[in-house]
Order: sequence, then C-alpha cells, then structure tokens
Amino acid sequence: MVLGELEKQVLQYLWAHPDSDVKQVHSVLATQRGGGTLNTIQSTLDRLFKKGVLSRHKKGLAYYYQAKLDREHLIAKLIDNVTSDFISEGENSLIAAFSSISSDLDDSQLEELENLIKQQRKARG
Amino acid sequence: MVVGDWALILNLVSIGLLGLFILHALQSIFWLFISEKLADFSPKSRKSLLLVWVACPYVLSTVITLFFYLSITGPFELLDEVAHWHHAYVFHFDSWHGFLLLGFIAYIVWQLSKVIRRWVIHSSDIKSLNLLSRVISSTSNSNSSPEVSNYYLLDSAKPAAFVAGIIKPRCYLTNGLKRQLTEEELNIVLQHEQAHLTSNDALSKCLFNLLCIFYPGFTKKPIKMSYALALEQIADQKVLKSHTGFDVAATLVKVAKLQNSYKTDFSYCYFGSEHIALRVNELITPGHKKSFPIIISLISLALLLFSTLSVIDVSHHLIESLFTH
Repeated sequence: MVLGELEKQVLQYLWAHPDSDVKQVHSVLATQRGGGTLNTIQSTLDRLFKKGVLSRHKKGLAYYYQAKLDREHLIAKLIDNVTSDFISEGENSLIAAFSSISSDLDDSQLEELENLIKQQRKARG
Repeated sequence: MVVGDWALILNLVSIGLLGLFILHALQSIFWLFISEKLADFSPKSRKSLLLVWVACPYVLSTVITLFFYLSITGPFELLDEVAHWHHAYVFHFDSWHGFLLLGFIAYIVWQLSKVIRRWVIHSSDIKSLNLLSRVISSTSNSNSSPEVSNYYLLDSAKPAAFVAGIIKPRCYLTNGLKRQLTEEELNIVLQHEQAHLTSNDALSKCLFNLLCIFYPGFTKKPIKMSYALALEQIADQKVLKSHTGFDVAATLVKVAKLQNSYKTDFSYCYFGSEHIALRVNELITPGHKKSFPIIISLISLALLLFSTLSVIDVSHHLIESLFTH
C-alpha cells in the first residue's frame, strides 16, 4: 500500500478523531508543516476513500470520514508488505528476522525443541 | 542483418548469454548433488560459497566471451581449436542468436521493471512504518552485554523483530514481542538484529536474490533459503559472544512459539520452515565445521568453464547443422 506523507497525516488524524469532515481535518493539519490547503485535504480524503482506506457518509452537505483500517491493522499490513521479497513475489526473504516469521513448525515440534535444549543444558551442567 | 564490428559485438553478447544459460543449467544439476553437503561447512564459509556460486555464471560467461573474442580476433590458433564461432562478423536478428538476444533483453526489462516498481512500494511502506513507530534508545544494563543501537518500536500485537531497508536498514520490534520477553531475551533479539544491521544483510540478500533470477524455480528457492540460513546463523553466532548457545536457542524457540500463537488475517508466506530447527541444533551442539574449500572451488570453476565452452561449441555446431542459420 503506497501512502503519501499527507495521506499518512490524514490517517493519523482520523485515528485520533474518527468521523471528521474535511474542515475539521484541515483545521488541524493546516497548522502542521506541509498540511496543505482545504482543496488538497479534500482530494487526499477522496484518494484515501478510493483506495479503500477510508469509509464515509453524508451528513447534510458534507462527507464525514472514518479510517477503515485501525492503526494496528495498518501496521500489520505494512509489516507484511515490508517483509515480502520484491525480487520474487510471495517469498519472505528480504528481511533479516530473528525468528523466521512464518515458521512451519507446529507447537508440538517447538516443544520438542524446547525439551531438547533443556536436556542438552542439563547434560552440560 | 548487421555486418562488421557491430556484428562481432552482437555475436559476443550472444555467446555470453548462451554461456550464462548453460552455466545456470549445469549449476542447477550440480546443486542436486551438493546441496546436502553445504551443512558440513561453517555459516561464514557457506555464505562465501553461495556468493561464489551465484556470481560464478556471470564471471565465467564474461571469461567465455573474452575467450571467444581472442579466438576470433587474436593470433591464438589453439583457442580456435578449443571453441570457435562461425560468421563472427555477420549477425542476423532473425536467427536463433537474434531470438536469444531479444528474448534476454525483454526478460531483463520485465524483471527490472518489476524490481523497480516493488522497490518504490517497499520504500514507501518503510517510510510509513517509520512514521507509525517510535525510536527507542536501547541500552543494556548488563556489563557483559554490548550496547545495541536504537530500534523502531511498532504498536502491534503481532510478535516480530526484523531488519528492513535496503540502503538505510533499521531494526524494528513490535510491542507484542517486547511485552513477552525478559530483559535478557530482548537483549538477545536486539543483538541478533544488530548483527544483521552491521553486516548489511538486507542489502546483501537483495543483491543475492537479484543474482539468482536466472535459476529455475526448483533451485532458486533452496539456494536463497540456504543463503538466508547462513546469514541467520552468522547473526546467531555474534550473539554468542555475550550469551550462551542455550539461551539464544531457547529465545529463538520462544519467539517462534509466540509467532505461532498469533495468527492474523495477514498470512505470512512460507519461508524457511527448517530454519529454526537447524539454527537451534547449531546453537546447542556446535561441532567442528569445514572452512571454505579453495582448491575444490577453483577446480570446480575450471571444470565448469571448460564444460560450458564445449557445450557452446557443440550446441552452436549442432543447431547450425540441423537448421539453416
């Protein structure tokens, strides 16, 4: 998922203040560096809505926006993207992870390993 | 039809490409016999061996191209007897050399465009992760444990610790993992990641993967996995300077169990199912491992070189005897 700087700022705002309209978002972001004009914020909200990141409903004349993905899910999705290999899609080999993130060993196999470590530790005193 | 020096250049490029494909085919066959033997070597030697292995087709095909250049243009009759090329100063685009060349260019452009596109997305995702994370200054309280550099803490229940970023790698750790580790275990994880950072493993993996693009699927994946395993084991070994192998192995299993217990909608892809068992085994029963076999490597390189030269010569003659050019 490719998110621009302003899109991320908008998302951050909507996580903290769900159900906001463009004026509310703009009133806060305009004070920040690179916050953008009302029109820029409106097109950013539209773009995020089209990307499926936001949902919206109409109240009176204005649209009110909410983030569809909460912060945690977005982070999880970003981790998933970042750890995938861009040389051959579908392989998780670009990262250097402490434990391979998708270990195929099940719990009983891991418990066997745990017992093996305990036995060896005991044997070595 | 191209005639003259440009035709010579195009023919030499075709020779280099033919060499490249033959070398990959030969290596793919040899891989079936040597892959099991790799476990006898120390992780560092394995890393070097695998780097030599994947760089070998590119280096040898360059040597082969040079060989043919000298055979065609130089006064070395002996070289001409070993391998020679017909019509060196004539190149037809509608010949098999032409198709090989154009096919290669199309494949490279396609692969590179895919890599560049994903690089852009990858960089953007890393920027997003940075924005959504907090930098933590990591200091160790224990005198015996070396200090590890800063890391990026992510607000996620998913237990994960990894280094990402090709040019500017950073260490990431999730709250989900940090919460469930003791101070010593956390130090082990961070030292392991620090080892990846200082060795530039993310960049190394990226370049290694790029060099692997011409291997067929049945060898590409195990070669890449062997390299990843070697990098992980080298990082594990660096942690052994301040922790015992048992502690590192126990932490590894604990993290794997935590990851198993956390299943989300975002399924991670299959990768390295054997890594944890192999790494644990290496940590708790370290035995004497062989070092880099220089003589055997040199002999193998020479054999590969002469086999490829012969195959190029034979295939060139065979194709041009069976078909019109």
